[in-house]
Amino acid sequence: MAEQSDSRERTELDEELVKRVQGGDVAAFDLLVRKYQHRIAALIGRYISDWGEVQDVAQETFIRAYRAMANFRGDSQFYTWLHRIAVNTAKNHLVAHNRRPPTDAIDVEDAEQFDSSIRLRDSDTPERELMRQQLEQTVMRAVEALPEELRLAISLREVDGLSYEEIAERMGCPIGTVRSRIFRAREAIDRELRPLMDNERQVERVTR
Amino acid sequence: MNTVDDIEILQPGPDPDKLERFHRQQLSAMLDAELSHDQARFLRRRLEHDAELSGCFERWQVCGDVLRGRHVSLLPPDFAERVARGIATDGTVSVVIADGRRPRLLRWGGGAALVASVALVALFVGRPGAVDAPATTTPTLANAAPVTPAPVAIDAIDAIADASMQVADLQESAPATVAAAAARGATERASRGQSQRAAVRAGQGRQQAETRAIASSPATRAGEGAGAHAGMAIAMAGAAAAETGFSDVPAVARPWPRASSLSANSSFSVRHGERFAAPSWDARETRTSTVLPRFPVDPADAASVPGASQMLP
Repeated sequence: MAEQSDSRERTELDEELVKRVQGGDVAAFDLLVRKYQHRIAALIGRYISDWGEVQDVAQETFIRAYRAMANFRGDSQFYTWLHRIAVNTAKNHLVAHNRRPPTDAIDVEDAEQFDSSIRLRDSDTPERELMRQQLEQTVMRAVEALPEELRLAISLREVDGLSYEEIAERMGCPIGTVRSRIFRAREAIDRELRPLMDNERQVERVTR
Repeated sequence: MNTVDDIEILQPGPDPDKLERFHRQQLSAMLDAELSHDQARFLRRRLEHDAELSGCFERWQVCGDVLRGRHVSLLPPDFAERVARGIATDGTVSVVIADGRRPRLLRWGGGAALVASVALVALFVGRPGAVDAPATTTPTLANAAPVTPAPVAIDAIDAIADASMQVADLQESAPATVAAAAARGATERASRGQSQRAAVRAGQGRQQAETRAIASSPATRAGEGAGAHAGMAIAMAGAAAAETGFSDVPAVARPWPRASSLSANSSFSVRHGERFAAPSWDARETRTSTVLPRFPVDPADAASVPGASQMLP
């Protein structure tokens, strides 16, 4: 499923952004940060329990990645490369604080699945676990509430990783219609997701 | 098939809300790599300063990650800005470090410049021989030895450098006397017409012997500054030049012609007179040459050389 989601088109977007960063475009790196920051935070959370330290290590991860961007040759996907940097940064952080890093290597895909059995530790606090469940439920409920054509289009795009042309063939409609349906589906989900994310972040800011 | 879907696609309108909707439509297509390169380039430019659009980009990524069953932990909304500040601070730190080193370099560089300027002033201004020299003999000297001043002065300057190298080995000796000894050796080298470096090696033993001998006298321990060394060296070089046949030192030790020391007949002036004798690289060679025209052409010489006047224009 993960391989399907990391489709050729998404990889092309990353490649384009990476090329621009290597050319000196810092704003392109900002987009890469916004795209992968929450996944990287979840990955680092597998190694480090304290949420404040997770944020610091995540920030250090991206700064390291930016410094080493010139060495990235595109042999692997950008997120795979970023995943390694995050894991090494988290392990170095544990060693620096006289804590033993886990010896088990976490696979890139296994580390990110909800139903993964290879969970190093349940580091999340009950509050953060509750927030995560609310996030999942909000998205799922928003998708279920979509009209059938929008739900199918967004599912074929996000879950199955099909291109607009493939979705158009599957649904028997023009590509423009597919583009519009996917956009409207995202807008509908975002209307439910945005208040939750803003509220969660405000609560987190207060409790931090 | 819904025709409304096709009509509303990617058609920007004058309404700001419709324009934002148009940008979000483009953003959705860009996330799926279904946007043209030019449109994606313009949209990336817009994302740089459109916080609302970049926030939408971030939320749609979270939405996609959740739909794909990926584990996400929501970071604070200013996390990307913190990373950007960290990157900028990283660059700023290097700049700050560079700025912290710069005053040190400036301080040392300023000291070096100060020493060099003092040495230069002492070299060309603070020459005691120039004050003591009789003013009436200067034009005569300039006429008598028009070519030799510059080489002697250059040798004296080189001798100062050589002497400074020797001073490092002779801690007890007075630097001025070392410079004087080296200047004397320089005048000897000039009279022999040998290479300066070779002459330094040949006369090093004798110079050191002289240096030690002179350094033993207490009167030579007076000066310690570099400018004093240079001035004394020039003065002594002038004195040594006087011993070699040039009676007046100040005009000789000067590395360039001074206007006050140049008469109308000196070799540094250009004049079309009867007594024009310089510049002359080798007078004997030009007089014996029957092929090449001589320059400058003196009417008297042209008369003495057959055929030379025929080559004149």
